[in-house]
Amino acid sequence: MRPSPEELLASLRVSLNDVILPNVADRWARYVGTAMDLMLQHLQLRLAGELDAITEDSRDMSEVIAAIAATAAAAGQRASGTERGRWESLLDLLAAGPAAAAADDRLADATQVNEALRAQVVDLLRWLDTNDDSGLGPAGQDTVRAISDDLHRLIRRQVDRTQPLVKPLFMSFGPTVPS
Amino acid sequence: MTAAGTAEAGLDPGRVAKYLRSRLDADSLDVTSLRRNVGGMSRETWFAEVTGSRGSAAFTDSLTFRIDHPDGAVVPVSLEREYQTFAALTPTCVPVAEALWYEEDPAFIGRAPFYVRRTVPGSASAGKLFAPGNEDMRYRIGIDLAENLAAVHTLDWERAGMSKFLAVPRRAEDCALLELDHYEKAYRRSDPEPMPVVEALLSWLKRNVPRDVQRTSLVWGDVGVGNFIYSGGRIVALTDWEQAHLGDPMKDWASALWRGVDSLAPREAMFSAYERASGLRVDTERIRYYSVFIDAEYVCTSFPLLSAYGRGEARDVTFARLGMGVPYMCMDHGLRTIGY
Repeated sequence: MRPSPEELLASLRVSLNDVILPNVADRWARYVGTAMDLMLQHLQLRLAGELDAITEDSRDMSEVIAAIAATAAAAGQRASGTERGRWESLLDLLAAGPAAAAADDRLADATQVNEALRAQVVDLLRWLDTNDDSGLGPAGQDTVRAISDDLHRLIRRQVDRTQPLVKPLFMSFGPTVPS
Repeated sequence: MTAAGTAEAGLDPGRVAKYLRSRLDADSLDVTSLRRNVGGMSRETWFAEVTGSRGSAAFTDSLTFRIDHPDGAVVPVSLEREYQTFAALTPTCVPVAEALWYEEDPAFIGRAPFYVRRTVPGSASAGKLFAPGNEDMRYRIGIDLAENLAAVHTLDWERAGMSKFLAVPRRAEDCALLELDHYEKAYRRSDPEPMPVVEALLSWLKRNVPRDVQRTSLVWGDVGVGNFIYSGGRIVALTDWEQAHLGDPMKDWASALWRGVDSLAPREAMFSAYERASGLRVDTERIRYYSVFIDAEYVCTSFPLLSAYGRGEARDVTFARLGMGVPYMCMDHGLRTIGY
C-alpha cells in the first residue's frame, strides 16, 4: 500500500513542524509537540532498523551463551567436588533456557526470542553474582573472570546496537553551552 | 489502547482561586496567572500568581503547587516526603522555597495530595546563565553552588528533624545500599523487559560499594543547572529535593558533574571552594562510583515508565520520551564508567 509507513511518518513530521508547532503558544504544549517530533524520528529509525538489530542481537547472544556452555562443560570436567557442582549448576541454568534463536522475519516473534535470550543473559549475570571466584582454584577463577568479561563485552555490543535507534530521544541534563 | 488514568489533568484557575481565598483567609482573591512549569518531569509544578485583599489591605503572592501526575509520580518517593524535606529545610541555612502547607483533600482543586510553597523570585534558566557576556556571573554562581553544597553537606540533619522521615544509614556501606535497594525495588516492581545492562550496573554497584564515608550528610540528590534559582548573580534557592536522602556527600558531586555544573566554573575552583567551606575532601574515585549510581538511579526511575505500555495503557508521549531517552543514555554512560 502507498504511501509507505516511512513516507507517512515523514508527512506527520512535516505537518507537526511546519503547521502545528509554529502556531502553539503554550510552552508546555510546545514541549509535548517537540517530544512527539522526536518520537516520530525514533519510529522512522525503528521501522528501518529494528528487525535487523534484534536479529543480530539474538544471534550474538546465542553464540556467547553457547560458548559459555562449552566453557562450563570443560571446566566441570576438570574440576571435582564443590567446584564441579558449581559448573553443573551453570550448565543446568543454560539447559533450562530457550533454544537457539530461530531465524524469523516477523518483528513480534523476533522480539519474543530476543527477550527470552536477554532473560537468560540476566540469569547468567545473577549466577555470577552468587558464584564469585572465591573457593575456586586458579583455573576456575580465571574461567569465572573470562565468562564475566565475555558477558560484559556482549552487553557493550547490545548497547551499541540500540543506541542509534534511541539517540533522537536522548535528554541532555547538562546546560547547553554556546561554542 | 486506552489513555491511562481518569483523573483530570491540569488545574482549574477558578477552583484554585476559591481554595486559596479560604486557605489564605482572604476576603477576595484572584489567580492572575496559572502556568505549568516546563522541565522537571518527576511531578507537575504549577506557578500561581495571586492578588487579593484582606480587610482594607491589598496583597499579592507567588505560590508554587507541587502535585503528582494523574498516573503517579515518576520518582519513587512520596510527595509528602518531598514536602517534609522542604519544611525541614525552610528554617535552616540551606536556601529553599518556604514550605507552606500539605493538602490531602481532593475536594478543593480536584486533585490531591499536593503541597504549596512560596515561589522564590529569580530564574532557573540555563539559557540566561549561558548567554554571552555572563561569564563572570556564571563563575560566581559556580562557586556559590559549591558553597551551597557545603552548607547542605554540613547541615545538622538530626537537629533539623530529618531523621524522622529519611532512612538513617547505620553502616558506611548503607549510605549507598539503602538508596540502591530503594531504587532497585522500584525498578523490579515495574516488571521491565529483561535488560542485561541494568543487571550489570546494579551488580557492579553492589560489588564495589564504598566501605567508608567521610560524613553521613544530607544529600540533595539532583544537583544541576536548572535545579537552583539565581538572582542578582547569587543562588537564592535550591530546588528539586525529591531524591534527597542521608548518605555520602560525594554523591551530590557525582550528580553535579554528571549534569555538567563544571561548565559554570572550573571544577578545581569549585572543589576548592567546597573544601574550604565544608572541611570535607573531594574524593574523585568516590565520585566515579556515584556517577554509575546516578546512571542506575535514573534508569530505575525512568525505565519503569515504559512498563505501562505492555499493559495496553498509554500516557502522554513525554513519558515515553523520558522512559527511553534517559535510561538508554544512562546505560551507555554507566557501562563506559565501569570499563566496558
